Amino acid sequence: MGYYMKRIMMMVAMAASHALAPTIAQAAAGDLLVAPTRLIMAPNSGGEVVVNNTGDRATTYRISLVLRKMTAQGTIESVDEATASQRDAAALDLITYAPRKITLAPQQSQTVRIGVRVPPTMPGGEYRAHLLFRAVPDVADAAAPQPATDGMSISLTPIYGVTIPVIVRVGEPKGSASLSNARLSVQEGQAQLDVDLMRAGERSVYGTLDLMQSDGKTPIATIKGVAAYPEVAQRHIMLPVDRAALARATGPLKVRFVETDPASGGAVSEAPVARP
Amino acid sequence: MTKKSVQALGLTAMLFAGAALSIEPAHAASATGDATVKILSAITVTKSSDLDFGKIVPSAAAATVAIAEDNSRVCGSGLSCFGTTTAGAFAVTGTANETVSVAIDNPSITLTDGGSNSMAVALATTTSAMTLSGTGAGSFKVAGTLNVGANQVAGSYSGQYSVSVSYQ
Repeated sequence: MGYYMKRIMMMVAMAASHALAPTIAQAAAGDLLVAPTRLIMAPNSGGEVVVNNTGDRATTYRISLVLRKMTAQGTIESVDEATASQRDAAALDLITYAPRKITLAPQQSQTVRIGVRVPPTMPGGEYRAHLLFRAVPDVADAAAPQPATDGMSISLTPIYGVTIPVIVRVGEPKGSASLSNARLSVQEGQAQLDVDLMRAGERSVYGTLDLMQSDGKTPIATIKGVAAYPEVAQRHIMLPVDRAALARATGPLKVRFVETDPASGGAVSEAPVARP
Repeated sequence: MTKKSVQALGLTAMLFAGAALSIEPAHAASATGDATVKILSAITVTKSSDLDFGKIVPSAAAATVAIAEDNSRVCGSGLSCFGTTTAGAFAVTGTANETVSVAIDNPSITLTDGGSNSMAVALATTTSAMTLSGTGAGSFKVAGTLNVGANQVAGSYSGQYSVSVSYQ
C-alpha cells in the first residue's frame, strides 16, 4: 500500500472521527469503524472496506461472510449456511475477502479486500452475502463472575458486530419499487405510518421513505436506508411520525420512496395517505 | 467492565478527486492529491447493561429463571432467586432517521462453569428493526430464560452471546 493510499485512509479516519464526535461523546469507547456500509459489485471486480479502530486500545476484529435473509416484516434474520438453498448460498462462493482477522492499535486502520469472481455459466441475477465485522472480546472483558458462595452466579458477555450487505449483480438485473396500502394511525399517543414497499424484478431496491404533504417539499417524517431484497416481493415499513409535525401539516398527505441504488436512476414512487 | 462498542460508517457519498478508494493510486506526478471525503452516516452500538440473572439457589427439580426486557424476574418453582436482575441493554447512536436491523445471532447458548457443568440460556429481543430518532438515538434490550437443572452444581457460570446490527 502506497503512501498516498495511507494518506487517504487517514483522512477517511480523521474525517470519520470528526463526524462521529457527537456520537463518541456518548459512548465510552468507539471501537470499530467500517466504511462503506453497503457494497454493490459487478462480476469479476474488486473493492475494499476500510476498518478503523476508533477505540482507545488494541482490538482484534474477526471478519466473516454470512447469509442473511429479509422477512416480509422487513427484519433481517440469520440463515444457516448448512440449510440454505444453493441459490441463496451461491454468493458465498462468488465473494472472496482478506484478511479475516485484524488486530489494530488505537486509531489504526486497515483495508479488507473484497473480490468477486463469477463463473461464465452463472445465471444472471442478484447474489448477496453479508460481511460481518465483530470485535473479539478480550478475556478481561468478560463480566467478572461474582463469588458463588451462596448458590450460583452467571455472567454473560455480549459480543456485538455490524453487518453490511455485499451485493453482486450479474447481467444487470432489473427491478422496480412501488408503495401500497399506506395507512396512518395513532395509537397510545404515538402516530405512525405503515406502508408496504412492493418490489418487482430480480434486483433489490434501496432508498429513502418520506411522509409529506401532497403539495409539500419538506418531509413530515423520514426513514433512510430502507431496502427490499429479492427474496421478498413486498415488505412492511413502519415509520414513526411526530404528532406535532403531523398536526402542522395541512391538506392531503402522500408517502414517497426515492431509490438511491445506483441501478435505479433515482426512481420515485408515491402513494396517497389517508388521515386517521 | 469496559464498554465496547462497534461503529460502522456509512459513506453514501465518498468522493475522491483523483483516486477512488478501490483503485490503486496512480503514481503519476500530475495527481494533485486533494481528496474530498463526505461522510453522511455513522452508527455506534454500545452495551448499556449486562443481562444479569441475579443469584439463584437450585432445587431438586429443574426449573427456569426468566428475565424480561423490563428487568423483572420470574423465578421458577422450587428455586430461590435473589439479588437485582437486569435485561441486557444496548444503545445505538447514528444518523437521524436511518433504519437498521437487530438480531441475536445465537439465541440458544450454553453457560459453563469451566468444568463439566452447564446450563442452557434462551435469548430474545422484541426489537428486530429500529429507526433511529431525529437525534440519531435508539436502543434495544435482550431478555433471557435460564434453564437450571435439578440440583444444579453451584458455581460461577459464564458464556457469550452475539448480537448484530445490520445495514440493509
